[in-house]
Amino acid sequence: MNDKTTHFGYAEVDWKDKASKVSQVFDSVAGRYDVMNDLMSMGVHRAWKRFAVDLACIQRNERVLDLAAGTGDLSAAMAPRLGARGQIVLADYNAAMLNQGRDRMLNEGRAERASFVQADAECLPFADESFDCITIAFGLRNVRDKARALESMFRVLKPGGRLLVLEFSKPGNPLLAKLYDTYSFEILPRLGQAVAKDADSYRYLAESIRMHPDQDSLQAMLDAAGFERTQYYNLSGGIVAVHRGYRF
Amino acid sequence: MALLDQILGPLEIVLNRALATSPEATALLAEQREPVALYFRDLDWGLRIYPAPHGVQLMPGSSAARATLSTSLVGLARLMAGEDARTMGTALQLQGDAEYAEQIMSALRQARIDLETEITSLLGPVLGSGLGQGLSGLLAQGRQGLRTLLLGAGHDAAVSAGADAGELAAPEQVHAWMDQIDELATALDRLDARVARLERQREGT
Repeated sequence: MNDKTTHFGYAEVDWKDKASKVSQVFDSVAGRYDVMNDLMSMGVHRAWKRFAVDLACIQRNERVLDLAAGTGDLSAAMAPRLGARGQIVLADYNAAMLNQGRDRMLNEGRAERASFVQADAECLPFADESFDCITIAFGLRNVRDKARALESMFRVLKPGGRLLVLEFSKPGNPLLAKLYDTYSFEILPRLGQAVAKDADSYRYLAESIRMHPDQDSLQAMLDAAGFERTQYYNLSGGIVAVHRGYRF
Repeated sequence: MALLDQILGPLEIVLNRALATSPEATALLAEQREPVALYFRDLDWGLRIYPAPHGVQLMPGSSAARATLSTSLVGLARLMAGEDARTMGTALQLQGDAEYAEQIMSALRQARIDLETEITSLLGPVLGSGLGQGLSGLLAQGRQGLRTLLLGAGHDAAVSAGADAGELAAPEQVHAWMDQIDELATALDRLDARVARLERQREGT
């Protein structure tokens, strides 16, 4: 990969084209995103997200940024913990996904302390040191320049604040890895075709997961961005991992 | 030990949830930054307890801490049950800043883990409630047993003689009553602190 190209799944694409290609994927699946998540993970994604939210340990009156907020799963779980003076900002690059998240927060009566921002994780449009906690669930692998995005998150975190990254990762057990590969490349695209009428987007999902840094590499990236006390927890044998780092 | 490292996440979540019920403990931890290490000799495994603004962060490894406690699982149980660290002899070895270690451990002692709630949130209300109550009862029995061990068998024998004569309550009744008094005293302390905070807030607005 040279300076002008980047990965889009297994394909190498022009640097400036990746964002629009990822956006097309999410435009296509936004309406069926939650149903597909439940089907693909057999509901386990709810437990992964709950673990991440519990680990974030949101306190009353904190200001939280939910990046790649999508349909608002994490935001909906975090909002009730913020108390009367807390605030949550849902940010997503994709307008269609952000609309889903906004509708959900409104429908569940949680929009009072929520705001919605269409934003690029690589250059967050927020003041320095303005959030107590940042979460990004299943979004970092879609970002074009992950190192730059992590630096941007570090910039907007307050000292003492924490970042939680929930993302697909690498299973540690070879047998599980083999089964997971078969599922990802044989079953997932067919499921995508049957439910969301879009096999290509779910093929991209499987490919983008394989191109994402493994647990230790991502931890090293967090360290490089300036985060301290970084660590990760494997979930479901490493299919998913939660990374956490603090800014001091 | 990778498997033990992975349980630190759920353990931290449960601890922080319990700490959240004690603003005093949370405030005490929020003022500190340096870790206390806990090394389990029987497991040959250790962890570091980092104070954090939201409670604690648990990380594997027991190196580079301001204080290191070296003990066994039973030793930790004794410590958390309130036994004075100075009387534990070789069951507990401490290196580093003892005062700091005591500060962190006393904050952790204030965390009252609600087993019934934790298990119910995992298994649902039907299974979790029964199992949680059973486990809580079992732990209460264990605490009483531990207290009996710490106080010594002679003390109980003397009390039992009186109980047999019908003059005194049975020791287990006394222990259960004392536990309830402890719980009540803790709840009252929290209520006092809460009222004081609300009064301060009202004065501030």
